[in-house]
Amino acid sequence: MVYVVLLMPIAVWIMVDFFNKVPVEIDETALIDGCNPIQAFIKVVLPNSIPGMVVAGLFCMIFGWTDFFFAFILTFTEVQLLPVAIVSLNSSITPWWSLSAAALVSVAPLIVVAFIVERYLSKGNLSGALK
Amino acid sequence: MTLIASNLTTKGKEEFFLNDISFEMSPGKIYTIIGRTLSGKTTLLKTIAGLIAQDSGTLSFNGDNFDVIPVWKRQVAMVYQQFINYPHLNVFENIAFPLKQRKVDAVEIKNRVQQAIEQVGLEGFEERKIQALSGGQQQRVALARSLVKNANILLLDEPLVNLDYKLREQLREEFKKIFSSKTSEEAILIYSTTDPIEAMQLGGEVIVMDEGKILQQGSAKEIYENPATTKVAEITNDPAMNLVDGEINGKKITLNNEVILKVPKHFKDLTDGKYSFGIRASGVTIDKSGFPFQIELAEISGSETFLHLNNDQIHLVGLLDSVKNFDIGETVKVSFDIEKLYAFGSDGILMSSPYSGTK
Repeated sequence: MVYVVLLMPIAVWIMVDFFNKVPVEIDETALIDGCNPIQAFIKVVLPNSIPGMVVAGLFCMIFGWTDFFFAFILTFTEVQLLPVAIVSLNSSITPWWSLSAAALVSVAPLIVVAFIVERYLSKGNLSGALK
Repeated sequence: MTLIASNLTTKGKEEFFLNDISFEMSPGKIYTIIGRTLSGKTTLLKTIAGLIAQDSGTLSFNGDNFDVIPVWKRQVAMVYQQFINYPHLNVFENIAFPLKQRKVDAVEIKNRVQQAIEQVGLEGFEERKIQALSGGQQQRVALARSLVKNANILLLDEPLVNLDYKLREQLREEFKKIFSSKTSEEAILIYSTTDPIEAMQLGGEVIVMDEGKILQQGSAKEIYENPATTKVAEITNDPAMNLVDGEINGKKITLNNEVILKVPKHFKDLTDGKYSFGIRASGVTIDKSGFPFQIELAEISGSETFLHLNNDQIHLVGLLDSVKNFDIGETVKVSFDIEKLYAFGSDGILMSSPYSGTK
């Protein structure tokens, strides 16, 4: 819930920018072609904003995944988020190898996600190539 | 199936976008709206499409009040000057989009899309993404999408303006063929442009607009021969008609106290007095027996040369039907073909034309 409240403004900020980039004429053409405003949004505006959704999703994921402050304050010892769990490995003698390995493993999902959504990100660059 | 507009008015903060527009349009004809930028052409088309609601006045189609019908239920198609297509769909899907919206049977969609693709010459491009097409091809897709609907009203908002010269010529020819096809006979075609040549070439009915008002409506020939006002003469000619203040005194015309011409036969009923005289560039040419003018600019256009001429008080554009280089500032002798002279009153209203004599 805390993360939703925290990240919603970022997602809205990114998405508004993407929606604004869809030319109003495309929206109007959809209406002329028989879509009502809701259908125009779902069938035309939304598919053309997929790169925006991917970017917003990625930003939110990175922020959420790497957040320490709220994870540290709001989670308990039984249920811990990854950054807090990694820090808790620390003891009187700093186990650098464990910390490094844990940090690497913790960013692995982000790397995987980045590879999966890469084509959408590059699509975003191309979709701006409207003549 | 008649489209009737009565006193359409749309006002912005300070200016009128549409100012008391009234017309009647019927199917099987091309209506070309010509006007400069910000003359209200696009506002008028969008009002017909239902994208803009007018402040006052009514729009009716086939006897029904058009104003109460939302955009998506109007039988209207529109092509924009920008190449507007759906970037996430391929050529086939783009053209099929309006039919899918109307839940047309899949087999019929395939047939109609194929027919539209053939009409605009895009065979073999069905699976291509829009981004992989050239500007001309993208505009063909937009045109095919508007044709496939078999809409009652087809609106074309400066569809060729963003294309290069050659492609514009080519598509203009193709448009004429498409518009004369059977499908278009049942539709009202409204084409807006800023280009006088385009308006004249398309033929049909021409509507001249300026500052949200219709200045004149008539056949292309009628408007070319008898522009109702100086404004119409400027808008419907490229380059704009030369307008010079002058005076008729007996059998002489004096232009700005400098150029003295004989009064042509078609001015015989004009009384002595001050007028604004109009002459197209084709009526102004270089001749040894003419009046001295300085060359401000010489523009070579295809096989012709446009000369921008100046003699302190009179600024003219003349036309040479050959290609010739001139030095800027060079003095040349310029003559006027008096048989091509127009006379407009002090209020800008046409008084006499070479084609129909004095009004």
